[in-house]
Amino acid sequence: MKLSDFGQSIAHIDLSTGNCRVESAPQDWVEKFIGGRGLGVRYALEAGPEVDPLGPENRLCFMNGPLTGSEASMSGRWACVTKSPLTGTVTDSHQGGWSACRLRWAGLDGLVFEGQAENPVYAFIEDGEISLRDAREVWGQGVHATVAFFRERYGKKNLSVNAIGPAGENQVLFAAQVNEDDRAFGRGGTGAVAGSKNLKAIVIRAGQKKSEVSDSKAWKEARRQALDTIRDEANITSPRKGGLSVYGTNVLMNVTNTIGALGTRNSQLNSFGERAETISGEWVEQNLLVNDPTCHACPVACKKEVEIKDGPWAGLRMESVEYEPAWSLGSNCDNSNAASIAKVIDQCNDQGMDPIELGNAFSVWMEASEKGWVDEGEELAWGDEAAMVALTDAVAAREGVGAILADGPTRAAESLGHPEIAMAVKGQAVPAYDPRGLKGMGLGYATSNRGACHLRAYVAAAELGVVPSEADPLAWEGKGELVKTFQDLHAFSDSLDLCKFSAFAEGAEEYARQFAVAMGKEFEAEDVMLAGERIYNLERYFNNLAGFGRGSDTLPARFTEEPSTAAGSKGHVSELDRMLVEYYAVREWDEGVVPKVKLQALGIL
Amino acid sequence: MEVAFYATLERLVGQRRVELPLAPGATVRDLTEALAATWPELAEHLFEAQGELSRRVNIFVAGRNVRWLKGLETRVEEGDSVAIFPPVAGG
Ligand code: SF4
Repeated sequence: MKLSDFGQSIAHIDLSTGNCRVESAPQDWVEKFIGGRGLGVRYALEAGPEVDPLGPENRLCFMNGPLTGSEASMSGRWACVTKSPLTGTVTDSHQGGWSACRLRWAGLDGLVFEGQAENPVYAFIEDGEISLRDAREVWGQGVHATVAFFRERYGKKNLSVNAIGPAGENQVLFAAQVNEDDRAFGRGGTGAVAGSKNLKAIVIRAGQKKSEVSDSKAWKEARRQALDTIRDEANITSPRKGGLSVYGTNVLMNVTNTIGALGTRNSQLNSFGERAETISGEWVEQNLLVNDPTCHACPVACKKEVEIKDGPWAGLRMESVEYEPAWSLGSNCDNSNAASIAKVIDQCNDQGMDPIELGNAFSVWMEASEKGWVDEGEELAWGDEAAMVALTDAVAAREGVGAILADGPTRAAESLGHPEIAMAVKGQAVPAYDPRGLKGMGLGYATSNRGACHLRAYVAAAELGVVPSEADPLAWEGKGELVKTFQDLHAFSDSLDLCKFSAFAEGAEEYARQFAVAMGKEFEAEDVMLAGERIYNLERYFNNLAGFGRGSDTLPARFTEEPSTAAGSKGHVSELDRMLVEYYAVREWDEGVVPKVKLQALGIL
Repeated sequence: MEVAFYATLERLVGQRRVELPLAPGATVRDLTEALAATWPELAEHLFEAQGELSRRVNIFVAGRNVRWLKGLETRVEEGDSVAIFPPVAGG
């Protein structure tokens, strides 16, 4: 497995005709857009930004990065890029587990699906060969049963299954794809796109391959330097010592609650008070944790497997009660029971749905019920766990109220005549950081190219004092530049494709060094930032062509007009307009639109 | 005065909440020194070599990180909550 050969084996699969060909990506694309997210967006752009996301012309691109499946730490990821049915923007989502590595070990760098199969199919991949096979037997099955079915058929050894569940088949607009039972391409509705194409699963069989790099000594050294930063006890990634490693992502719950940035009851409140405790990472670790699984080549092991010991879901064993769903299904829905949160997350893994979007759809319906905007008999009370569990399956099946919520919180709120209660940007629901208490995160949501997202610009790392570039969470000044820097850095790491959490330890220097040695070329930290900027602008260009022009970078009025009532952020709103002025200036954009001269300067046009 | 510890610092101290014999108006410096005297192993988390507040800890008074207030000279007034975290983030 020669790492510098990356990009030479991209499979194009036409599901309408069954034709499949493997070819090299244009060299120019690989140089400019690196791999993973960047290269995937370039392929998606080729289909045209105006395609119907659920039509056969839309492309569903699975793209490895140049480091995927290598010995580099946290390198087990791939990107899924497509035009989102939820937002109408380009979207990319990333997945841990082992599917990405196995694709690389099977001799392929990416898969570009287009068309629509007549009957349900799955792609079987081994030794660089791809075949489309009949999936009618598993159509209608959940992810867990689908994974079990393929393990039974092909054996467990060296096998990864990436599948959609009923939600994807029914084109729930926020359907996910899940591999290894619980590692998801979570956001943006990539599962609905797979469902629209009748693509049930991608099944890959391949054993681990060793990387070949021309300068093996330098490769070892570059990896060692990166690993040293991950292991450094000062970093949250430090194995079994850092907060991320010990508690997983849900180590955040108590801190966002403390600073008044934990949205509660559909963000009508900004803190969950003492009730945050029982949905926090610390509580889960002390009461439910049974195992700390990991991903390929990752010593952090932030995944947290839990077992529910009593109550109606006793015996449930699942991973993971991550911070995002613990918020979306927890304080956001006024629910302080970690067991019911675990139950709904596991249902989401099985049905193949994004729990962030689902929790926001619930909280919209709960607020509307409270205000009397929901028809009698269809109400959902705050914190009604049993109803949430029942409704989760109804959403996946598009039954009853579930059919309304299956189109996401934005459309659900619109259907009630109250679009203002959807906490969303460009049609995608906000994640777990209230922008009144973390101002940079709000700017990140508004300017994310895939709709509201915490991961495009994870400036919470600076605003919570985790990385050296710390920033006051309540100050708006300077956030324009900070958000741009984080967006560009993450656009690069998502293209390599390394786990996002590598950025809690590594930076542009470590990324550049590993990439340069792997590819056998000169590459410096400033090249990392330039490539990241190019990729971010490419996505924005896609969105501009898809109809997102001036005025598209917004936040719900609740965040800009209703002051926080919680300690830590009391009296604050998001000063989005001021931050946008700063942001557009550093981006050299015209009110959210990339000018031609910028596209030319970055080599996009 | 009550102080709450979270995440790995809760483990280190062995409990979530501790009561310190300090009156309202005491500074964060008074508070951290009292903590270091009771839990010497906390000291390396709290202070850099020159007695500055360490990057390995975030102290919140009434929900505000003291880094953005007056650092170690920040006063803890009556009714202010005090929460001490190691650096934490996720996604
Ligand atoms: S930090 Fe967590 S999500 Fe990232 S690679 Fe490691 S175990 Fe997987």
